Amino acid sequence: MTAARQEPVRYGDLLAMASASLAQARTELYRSPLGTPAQARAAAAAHQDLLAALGEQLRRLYRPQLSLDDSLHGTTHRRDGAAIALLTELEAVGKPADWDHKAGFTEGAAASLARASREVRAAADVIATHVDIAGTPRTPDASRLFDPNVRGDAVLALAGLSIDAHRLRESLELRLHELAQQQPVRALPSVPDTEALVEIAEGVLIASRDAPSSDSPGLLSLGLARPPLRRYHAADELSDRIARLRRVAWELPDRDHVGVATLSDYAALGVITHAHAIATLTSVAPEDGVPREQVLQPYRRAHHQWLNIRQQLLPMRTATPAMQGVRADLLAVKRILDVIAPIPAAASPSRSVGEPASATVEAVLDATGPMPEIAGWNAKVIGRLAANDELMIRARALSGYELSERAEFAASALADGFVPTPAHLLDNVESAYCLAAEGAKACHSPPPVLLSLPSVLAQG
Amino acid sequence: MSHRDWDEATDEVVQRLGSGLEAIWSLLEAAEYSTLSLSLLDPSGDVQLSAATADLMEARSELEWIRPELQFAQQALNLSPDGDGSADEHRTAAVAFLESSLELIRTVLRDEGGSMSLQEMAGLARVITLASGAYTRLTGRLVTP
Repeated sequence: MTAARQEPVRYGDLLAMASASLAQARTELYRSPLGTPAQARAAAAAHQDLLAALGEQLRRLYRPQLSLDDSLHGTTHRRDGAAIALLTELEAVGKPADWDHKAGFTEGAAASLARASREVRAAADVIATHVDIAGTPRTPDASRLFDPNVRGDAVLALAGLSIDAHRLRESLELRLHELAQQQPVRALPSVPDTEALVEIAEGVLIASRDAPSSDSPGLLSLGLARPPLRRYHAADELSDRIARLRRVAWELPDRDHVGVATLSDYAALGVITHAHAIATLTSVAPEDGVPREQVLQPYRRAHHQWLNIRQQLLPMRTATPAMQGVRADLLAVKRILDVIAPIPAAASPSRSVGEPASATVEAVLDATGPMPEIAGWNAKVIGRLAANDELMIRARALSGYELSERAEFAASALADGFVPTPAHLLDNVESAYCLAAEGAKACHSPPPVLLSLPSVLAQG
Repeated sequence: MSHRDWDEATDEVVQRLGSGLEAIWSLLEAAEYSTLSLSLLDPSGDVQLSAATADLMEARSELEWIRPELQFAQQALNLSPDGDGSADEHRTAAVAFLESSLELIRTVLRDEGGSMSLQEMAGLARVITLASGAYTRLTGRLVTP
């Protein structure tokens, strides 16, 4: 029996919830009057607060560019120009003067409107976890915030919410007037005029039609920066742990004290995830018309590169030990994969494996997804370790040619000590990382190993 | 090199590091290195060998859990054949290292088992399971007692 899978909260989900709350508020205004003056004031204030929340949200999306580049209108797509006009208009509405926080706990339209603005603000908080107070990225996904084409989907959703909020205005005003006629109300709350605003918002929608789109996932699918692990379902835990390993790998180039043992652990991760992906793809029936080898080929290639990296890193040493968190996640990933996508030992054919569920296949294949990025980030770390002469290798592990290159290497070999890793071994590792990160086209092959032969002969 | 030569290499490890967990750790690392070298000879990538290397990685983590200082130790005994060795050489070496490490674990359990905590013995039992699993994947047969 398996527990139901949980979905993590994403930015777009919260905006969709806000949209649903708005729709509900509209229905409620249509169906029933506002009841008391207090409720009327709460509804008007909540409506204004929602517009303010949308303005804040758009401001947050455009803040990095507005502060860095004043010529935004001239350089980017007109969708962004329209969106900035919209945010100016939304900010002009201003915050409600008598904003009553208890309004959210009442019933009816006021409560639904208050809930919508809370949901918009919660969505803003999801995004805020990805940058620090200075706007510096805290996660590898923060770059989605800064690419106008990637975050276009969020701008579109916010413009849509602004239009939804405007459509509610007429019903709200009617209900306010109705209340004023039924009983004496000392001060009728005003509803901000949003006619100009809605035209601009519609302009954003129109401008988005021919805006350049991006293949990468948009802002709407962005979740929390550091979500908790979901541990009730193996496939969920696998993807959460892989996501965490990816985040840490992104941090490593900027972090002091990273040992080669951690890079070696990441190489083991590459080997393990690709091996299980190959085993899983081999165990499912191939799709019609697609040869199995053709599907397997990219996985086999990446698998080979990670084996190569792992083999080269294994004899290397640094003074810094492995990071325990990475090791723990690596072992957890291995154990999960051993259970949900086992590689049956050839010696025990009796332990046959049934065809795995499609959700499992998807999770196992997705686990290999971040590995090219991780290869790129790891390559930066190994370059830094080498530049600081932190990367050591046992002198006896080197061949005779390499030892004769430098006299102190030979002395270390006799004393069984460690020496800085020779340059050509580093070249081999770096080109393997490059192949794992970019594929064969972008990488040049390392120079042949026995470069030192003539100098050996000359000395002899 | 024959099986006998790898046994001699193993003897050297035991002479240098003793017959404790440090030597077992080094032998498991050498076995993993040989297995990696072996799997690199086959460009299509035998997932059996990858599973064996993953098990050996986990086995060494278990040892590091029992004796945390093992991760700071700098043993890197390059016992394995060179990268350009033949598939048979790599396989023979890996199997020899695995057999020696299993033998050493048996010795450790016999000599020091009395003074170990249950957790430490459970950890070593897990190392045995993982190393024998890797042995089965490399040789196609179960470890004979």
